[in-house]
Amino acid sequence: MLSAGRCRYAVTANVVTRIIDPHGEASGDSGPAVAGAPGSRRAIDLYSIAGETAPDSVVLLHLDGAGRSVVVAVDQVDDIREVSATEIAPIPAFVFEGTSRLIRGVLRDAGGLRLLLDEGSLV
Amino acid sequence: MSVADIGPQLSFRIGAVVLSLPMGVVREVLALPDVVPVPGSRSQITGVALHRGLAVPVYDLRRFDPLWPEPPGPGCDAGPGEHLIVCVWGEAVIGVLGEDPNLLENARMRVGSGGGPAPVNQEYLAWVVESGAEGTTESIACLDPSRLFASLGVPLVEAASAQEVTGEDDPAGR
Repeated sequence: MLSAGRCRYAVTANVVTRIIDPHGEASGDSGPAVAGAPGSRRAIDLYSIAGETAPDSVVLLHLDGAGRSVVVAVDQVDDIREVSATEIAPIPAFVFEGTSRLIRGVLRDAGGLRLLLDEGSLV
Repeated sequence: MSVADIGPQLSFRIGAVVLSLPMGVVREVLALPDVVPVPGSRSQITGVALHRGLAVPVYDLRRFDPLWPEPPGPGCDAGPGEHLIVCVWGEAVIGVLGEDPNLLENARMRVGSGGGPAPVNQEYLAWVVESGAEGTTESIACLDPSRLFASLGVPLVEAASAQEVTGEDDPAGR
């Protein structure tokens, strides 16, 4: 469970290979770290997609899949928990402008609605 | 004026304009639920609501410039509508924001005399009718759902699995 700006997201935990918190690591990675992400990972800027600006300090998530590796900057990692598939309502494709989509569905938790990132589009 | 046989309609207000949709496409009317913005979505979509296990795209027609003779749409400086009109189009379920939803029965409706400019562009207009007692009538723009929903990008035939919650194995229906 992630937060980035005004948006609350979730991502499947098994694609998250590393979480870099600049406050907890000597590397001191800090934002807008999307552009300065280590390695050759493609950067996904959830802030700009939502029409926002990344804050000075972010947490970086490394996501790895069968196809590629990406880094995503977020405000914070909220928690890790089990989510039943039945809790997730898929968002229909016609909602999106163009053919690409980063959001797969929506679920409700204690804080309200949360968007599920589409790992198939990310990695 | 003449009596119009256009079937029951659900009227709603957007700013100062009163619109209607045929009851045949309206599933229910809700007090505005939680709506979460979806990055990358079409500009006229304010987000999605979660209702009865479905992700319901929420359309704000004020943002749909082609609908209005003079964009931006009416009441753009006001807040969103206080109700969500949940519509079924083909196998898609969508929500339209509006205020003051009312059921219009045929018996109360008369086809307007045509005076004054149409409140929405003709392309999306099925009828303009007048409703209410004599002396207090108001014009209602009855929308053509085929044209409107097509222009909003809502497919008439949407794979059922794309919006319905499915089983444990494949929640995205893929």
